Amino acid sequence: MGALALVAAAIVFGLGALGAGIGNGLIVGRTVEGISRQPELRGTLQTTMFIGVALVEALPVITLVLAFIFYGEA
Amino acid sequence: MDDLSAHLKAVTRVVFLFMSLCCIGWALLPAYENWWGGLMIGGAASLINAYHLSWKVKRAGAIAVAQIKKRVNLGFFTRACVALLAVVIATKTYTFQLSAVVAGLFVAQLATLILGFLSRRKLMASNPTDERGENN
Repeated sequence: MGALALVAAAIVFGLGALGAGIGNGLIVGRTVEGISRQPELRGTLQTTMFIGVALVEALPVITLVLAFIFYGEA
Repeated sequence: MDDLSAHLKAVTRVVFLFMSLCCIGWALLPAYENWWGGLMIGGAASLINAYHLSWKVKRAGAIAVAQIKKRVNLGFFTRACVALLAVVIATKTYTFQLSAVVAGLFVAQLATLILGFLSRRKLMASNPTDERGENN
């Protein structure tokens, strides 16, 4: 049980971080591109980016807490 | 005041309202104090995370406008550590429910999403545009 719990913690946090990395990369890349093209829309694009990143990062925070629960069980 | 600061101010207001409701809940239903305390600690951590994220987003915007070749870092590790600190404080220092802390960690995110949709809807209603962004 102990070793399996550690493997579960590693998998859950690894996959969560992978998804968040891809999502954040897409959001930040597109926003920076948009701001570079139209600097006058910076405020709107920043707000959209803030909402997107906040949503994307909700999942890895859950997985982090789950990973530590599994780590505690091990 | 730019859009992001106004949005963050609204999110702060919602999170403080949520925490005050938790205080009222704690006073009225003290039997569930483990849940109320966990929700409050999670809400506070999520507000700290929202402020940190807005600071990082503003920095990314400033770098994009200045056309500097610099790596943009959103600082997820810091926010993850804040969430973990909230969990540790709630479970080791006090005896709050872990599930309540995890639920509280998403209050700011939920407020961000709902307020974002509402403000977008209000903007579309007050200033209707066609699909190319031109005024009708």
